[in-house]
Amino acid sequence: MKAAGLVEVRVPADLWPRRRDWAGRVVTVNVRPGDVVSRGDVLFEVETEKVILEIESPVDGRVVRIAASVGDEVGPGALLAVIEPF
Amino acid sequence: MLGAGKAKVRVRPSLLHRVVAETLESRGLRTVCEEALCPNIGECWGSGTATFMLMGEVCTRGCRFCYVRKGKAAPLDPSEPLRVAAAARRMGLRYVTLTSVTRDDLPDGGASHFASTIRALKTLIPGVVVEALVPDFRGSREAVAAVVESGVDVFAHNIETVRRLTPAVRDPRASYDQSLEVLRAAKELRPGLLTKSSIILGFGEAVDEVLEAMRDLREAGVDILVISQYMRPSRRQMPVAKHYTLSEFRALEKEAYNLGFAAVVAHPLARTSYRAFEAYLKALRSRGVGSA
Repeated sequence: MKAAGLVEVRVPADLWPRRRDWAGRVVTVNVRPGDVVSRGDVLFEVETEKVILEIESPVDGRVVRIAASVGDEVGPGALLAVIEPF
Repeated sequence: MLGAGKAKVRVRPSLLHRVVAETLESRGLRTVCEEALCPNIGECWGSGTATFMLMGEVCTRGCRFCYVRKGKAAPLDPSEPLRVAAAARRMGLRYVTLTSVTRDDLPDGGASHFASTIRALKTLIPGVVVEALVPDFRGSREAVAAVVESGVDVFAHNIETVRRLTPAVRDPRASYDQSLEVLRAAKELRPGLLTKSSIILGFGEAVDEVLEAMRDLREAGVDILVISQYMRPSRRQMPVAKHYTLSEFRALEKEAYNLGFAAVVAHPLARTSYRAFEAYLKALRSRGVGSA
């Protein structure tokens, strides 16, 4: 459920649009609920077999919820965090 | 999985990335960027460019490093050349990179399909520069000639690895000498044509073997060299034997220039089409336009 005005941070589903069969593991969580973040801050690192994807904050705002922990297996589209934009 | 030495890639929400994706999707086109899980996809698509992959998404060969699907390939789509050219025009590309799966099932290996696509691009986009990264066409000189005579600007074919490791890394139907022969043939057929090849590091090769491969490529007349790091796409592919450091890449780049390559792209994240336009311009400056 997403309240109006909140921004979801997800593992990009359209990074490799036609290959949805990849998966990764959360290796770094840089923020906690309540943290203020700026657009472009690296919030999470997701390690795939090939590379480590640095997931940026799409907006300036405050972290409302963290939905993934270090070690979680995540696929394209998985919810990582919810941010209340300023 | 091992984190040490693994490259980090920023994932930026990008409008242009979505525009590229939509342009390709709406025209039913494929890219090697997606099929190979290229780590540079954000950078390239985010700047409005992509590498088209012709003749389907299923490869008739099974190289052990590659993420592209393997199996029985679909029939050729005769409308693909025009669709690629129309998409490239819409994307505003001045430099188009094409590649393909290997099509051992086709009599000419798909050479005429490449040629049609190159001609369509040249017709629809005046002044466009086209780079074609082709399979080995089982060594067929006629197939190489079809691509060369289509007016391609950069003829690329990848040797992929050193001589000793070729049987372990590439499909059994590929061979080190056959790949050198393809590159040599392209140069002989049109001496002014720029030719290009890539070596992937990290399969367990020794530095001396890499230098030997570079010398062999130079002897085959290759102008542009790409040296990159193998990154295992999934557990189904062979493991990484070694992650090279940036300084090791720089040392190999220097050796490559000493051997006479006109342009060298050496970086862990380099791929054959990565920064291809820059490498092309550098090679042109080095060789002199039309004088090679």
